[in-house]
Amino acid sequence: MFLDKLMSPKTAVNQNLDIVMSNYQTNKPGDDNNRTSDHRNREEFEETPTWAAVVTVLGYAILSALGWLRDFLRHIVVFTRSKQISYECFYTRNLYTRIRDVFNQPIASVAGAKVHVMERVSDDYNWTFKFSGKKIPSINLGSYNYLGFAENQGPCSEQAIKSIETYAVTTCSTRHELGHQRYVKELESLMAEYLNVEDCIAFGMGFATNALNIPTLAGKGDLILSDKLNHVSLILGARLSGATIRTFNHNDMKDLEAHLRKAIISGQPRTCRPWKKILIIVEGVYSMEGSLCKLPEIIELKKKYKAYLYVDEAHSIGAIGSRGRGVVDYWKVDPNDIEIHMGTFTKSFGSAGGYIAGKKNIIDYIRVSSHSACYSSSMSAPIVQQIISALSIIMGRDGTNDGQKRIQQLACNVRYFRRQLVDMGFIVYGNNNSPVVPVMLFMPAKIAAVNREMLKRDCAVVTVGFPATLLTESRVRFCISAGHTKEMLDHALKAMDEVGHLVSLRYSKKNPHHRWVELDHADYDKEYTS
Amino acid sequence: MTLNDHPTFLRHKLSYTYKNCHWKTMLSYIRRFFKFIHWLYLQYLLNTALYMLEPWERLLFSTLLFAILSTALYSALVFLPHHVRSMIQFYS
Repeated sequence: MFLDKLMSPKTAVNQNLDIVMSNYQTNKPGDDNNRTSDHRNREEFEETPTWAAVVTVLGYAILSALGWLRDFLRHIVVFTRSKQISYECFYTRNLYTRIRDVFNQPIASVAGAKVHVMERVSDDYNWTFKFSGKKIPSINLGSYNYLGFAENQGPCSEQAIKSIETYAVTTCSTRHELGHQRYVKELESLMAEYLNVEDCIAFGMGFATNALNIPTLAGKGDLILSDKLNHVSLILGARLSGATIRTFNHNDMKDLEAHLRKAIISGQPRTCRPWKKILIIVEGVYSMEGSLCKLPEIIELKKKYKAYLYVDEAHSIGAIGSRGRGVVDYWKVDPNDIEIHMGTFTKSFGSAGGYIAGKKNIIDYIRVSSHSACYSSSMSAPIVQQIISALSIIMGRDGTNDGQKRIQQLACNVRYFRRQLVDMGFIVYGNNNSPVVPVMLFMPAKIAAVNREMLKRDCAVVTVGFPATLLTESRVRFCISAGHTKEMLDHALKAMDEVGHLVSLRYSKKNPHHRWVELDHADYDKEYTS
Repeated sequence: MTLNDHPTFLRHKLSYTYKNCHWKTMLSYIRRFFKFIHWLYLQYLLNTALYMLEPWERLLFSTLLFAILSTALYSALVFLPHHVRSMIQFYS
């Protein structure tokens, strides 16, 4: 029971998932597609093995005990390493700093399918770093470069450079004053057409799109129901808005329905007046879990209880769906059912910024009253041109089928990589189709060990621990790209196999543990490219 | 090569290679054993989070662990037979 509290709420969800899914199958006689039972909803969150949880907690106990000892020694004898006793929190000083060399690693080239990582050495256990001057060319498994547009050659970058010659780099103004340029209008109409909605507005920064526009949509007297594992930008926007926030368990439709019913029946907290509006905020692909939201069921609940839906497609636009149009395309729902489509240009389009799309009257209201449109400077010309070029390639407007090939290559890479990892016996979270692949590590020392060993084998990966994830659920998160070839993925799989043996990462109880054997080309073609 | 030379030549060659690979596999077994010990040590460091700690902290924790385990083992070896014998006497 104590361990259940430390383990994520997903373990409870995993046990209830079968009940929920069977429940939804029987309760919908009118739904002829029966979507929740097909292969698109296959999500795996294998439970933490008990011994792994116990060893992780013991490891943290040892680290805390030694951290207290060090703080005590710092108090009575000042160590030469940390010259003054800083007031940072205990965790940063004792746990984060010890393995700081695996986080925030500087790079020295384009972060495409391959990247040059700058090597750092530290003499005093990661309190200070020195560059050794060496650059390690490695396979980039950490960038959100899903469609491979992060390149410094090719049509996109050429058109971006040409746009600097036409429009210069910045407008030096906000959208409301003199920043409403022609290229932004072109981007917004193209994006609205891409998403099959009425209108769209674009902002300069993806985080700010969420944090500054949720306050315009919701306010005091509204209710925001957000998923427990939502991104910080959504949480910040919800807090800034002043609305009441309630969280429901991750992807748990029964919990969401219970919250909706309770909210409508009891009303606002003290006055019991009805809520002015109820806004459900979910994400398309959750970047730490790799899971997709269950859009058809949420839309059904929303229609039944007359709530509004805000979908944040930061990681899913361009990467999910047969035509790359996001979760809306993946689940084949009507885009008019979702009030606000939000997304970012940072991930699949290789640029920067965010957008909000929906019906024309909502977007016009946001144009007038958003903080971001009024106070932050408008988007820059080469950035917008990069998005427009990427969009034209994806939609096929440039005459080639390069866009469709990239989408298919990404889907093929994702299925191959995930399947090979699962077959090896690792615990891999998330949906089978999501390009974010988290592999569980659990123990704090393995965060550093996996990162260093993978870098020795020329793979640059991102390993995350607390506070981005729960304390006992640290993981290594691979981001697959359309720019990765099969050879690169094979190299990464071989490295992961060796590291998995060295660090003993094969926790899975459901799948047998194997060493990796390369698939020969005929089998690969038969299974993955057809 | 005549027929008489062949068997001796082969036997000579075989005996040479047999001795050679015997010695080589012995060395590879020793190397594999040391690698296995190194792997076990790495598992100990990773699972107890000593991998992230400085050498003096590793020494401190390992000494404490060794002291506790050795005390437990010693007291078990010294006192258990007597305890077990007296329990059997008591219950029979």
